[in-house]
Amino acid sequence: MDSSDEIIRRILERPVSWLPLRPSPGMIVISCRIRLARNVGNYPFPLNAAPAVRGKVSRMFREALGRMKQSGEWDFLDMEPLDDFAVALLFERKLISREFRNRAAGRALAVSPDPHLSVMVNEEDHLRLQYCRPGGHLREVWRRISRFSNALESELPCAFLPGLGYATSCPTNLGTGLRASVMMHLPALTIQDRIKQVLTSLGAMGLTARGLYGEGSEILGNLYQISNQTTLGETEETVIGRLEETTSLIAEQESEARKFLMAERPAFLMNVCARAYAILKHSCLMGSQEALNLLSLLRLGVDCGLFPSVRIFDVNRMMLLVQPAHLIRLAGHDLSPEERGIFRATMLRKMLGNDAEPPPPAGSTGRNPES
Amino acid sequence: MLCQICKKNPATVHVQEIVNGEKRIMHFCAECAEKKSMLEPFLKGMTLAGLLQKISEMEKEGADEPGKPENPPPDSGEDTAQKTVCPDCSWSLEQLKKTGRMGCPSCYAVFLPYLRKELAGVHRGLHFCGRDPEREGGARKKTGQAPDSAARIRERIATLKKDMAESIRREEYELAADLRDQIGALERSLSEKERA
Repeated sequence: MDSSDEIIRRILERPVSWLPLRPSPGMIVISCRIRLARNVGNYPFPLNAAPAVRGKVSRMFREALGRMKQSGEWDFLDMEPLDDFAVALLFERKLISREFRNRAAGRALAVSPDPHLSVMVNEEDHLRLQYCRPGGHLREVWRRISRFSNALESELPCAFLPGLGYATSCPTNLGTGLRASVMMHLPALTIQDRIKQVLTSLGAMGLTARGLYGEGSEILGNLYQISNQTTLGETEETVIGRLEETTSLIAEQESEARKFLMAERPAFLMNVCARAYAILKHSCLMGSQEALNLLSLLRLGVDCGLFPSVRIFDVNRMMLLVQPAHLIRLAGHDLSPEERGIFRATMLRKMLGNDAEPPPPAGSTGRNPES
Repeated sequence: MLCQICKKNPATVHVQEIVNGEKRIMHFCAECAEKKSMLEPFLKGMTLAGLLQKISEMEKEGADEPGKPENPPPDSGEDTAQKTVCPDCSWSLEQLKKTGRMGCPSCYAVFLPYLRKELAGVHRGLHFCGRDPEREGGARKKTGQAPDSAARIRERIATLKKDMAESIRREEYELAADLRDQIGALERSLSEKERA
């Protein structure tokens, strides 16, 4: 069996499921994801289950995977022995939830040979199946994950209540146990202050918006995850269809907002994007949140054709690498928060083609500013 | 001040909402507020915090007026609600209230009567309309692997072709190639079926 270091290394070599490998400029829908909550048999849910029960459920899932010949060789990563750094990397890759960073006994992350498919074992529910891929195409994601869950459930019976659907730990997931979300980059609607209107209208559709890191996270880098709230009273296809329609309407609005800025307020647009570009290219200290917000505006500029020398691929890479754990991994050793800020700024400068060393801060080198 | 909805009657109901940290105050007349509150749970969905508050409010009401929960379990007395536990996993109503979570699948039979109304508001009713494992994956165990009918395969091929065209339009070639392979596999199984 491979060590957890080895498995993590393999996981990190895979394409990032929430960032497009071959992004096209002007991509408003960044990625989409569906997760299904499932519980095994009639065992108590993880929150109420003894470690031995959680362990048993985890083994049953593993054995079921073993019987599913078509599912291939999965990697199975026990969370309990992992250190904070490894957990942070998995979180930044969006393979595990906020809640899952707490490494309770029996928790494991199972990763399929299909780089988009993974399962959190003993999160809030016994199994959280998730399929995430860059770009739109929610229906294809649904097809993939429902095919997998069909195959899994024929090997491992899941708790299902007649008339009520899949039993889940939280009653807000009861029914389909499905949460579909679409991650959208909406800078133009945001800087024109039209985003509130859009977000308010989501409620009427049974949809909601969350930040980059899911439930309870703030909006960073103008990235919004639009997802369904309801899991009873409608078929999965209806919910997914409505989410797809709504998000494509929002994408149209964003695209119109960009066209408006380009045609009617080009100086304003250029100013906003170029300032972000300049800060990214010339600063000496940079926090991860600030970086994500500035990269969003740089990305908007690239999308609008303002900076032909910047590739959207590099913007994506920077979005991934400015996150704290990925930054430390790039540095190859631990960094204090201040060192991280310096390292991040240096990396961004270099990636944006500014190789010049910044002038040392006055006083720090012993040089007398008056001389 | 006039009602924001009908703009005729004076506003007597004032609702404060916080959406994404943004505070919003709305003013309605009694009539419109009632209409809105009847519609809203179905339209808007409710937060978990809201749901929990409702449950605890309802329990308080339940203590004052016995039998207030719409369908109290037959053996629950006036003040035994708090002590109601799931016979399978010993999860209590108290714990449900504290965590917002059920203890095991059987908990739904025990506690659902206490939150039926609220849950229907969170969702679009309480009727499950989704994929039923009995008819899908799970059924294979009972009925054996029923081969898809030729008609269903054709239907699937048609949908996949539409998706492929769409993915080409979006320049998602990786996905398009993937869909093409799926279509190929289905077409092969279809022609095998027709030969048989």
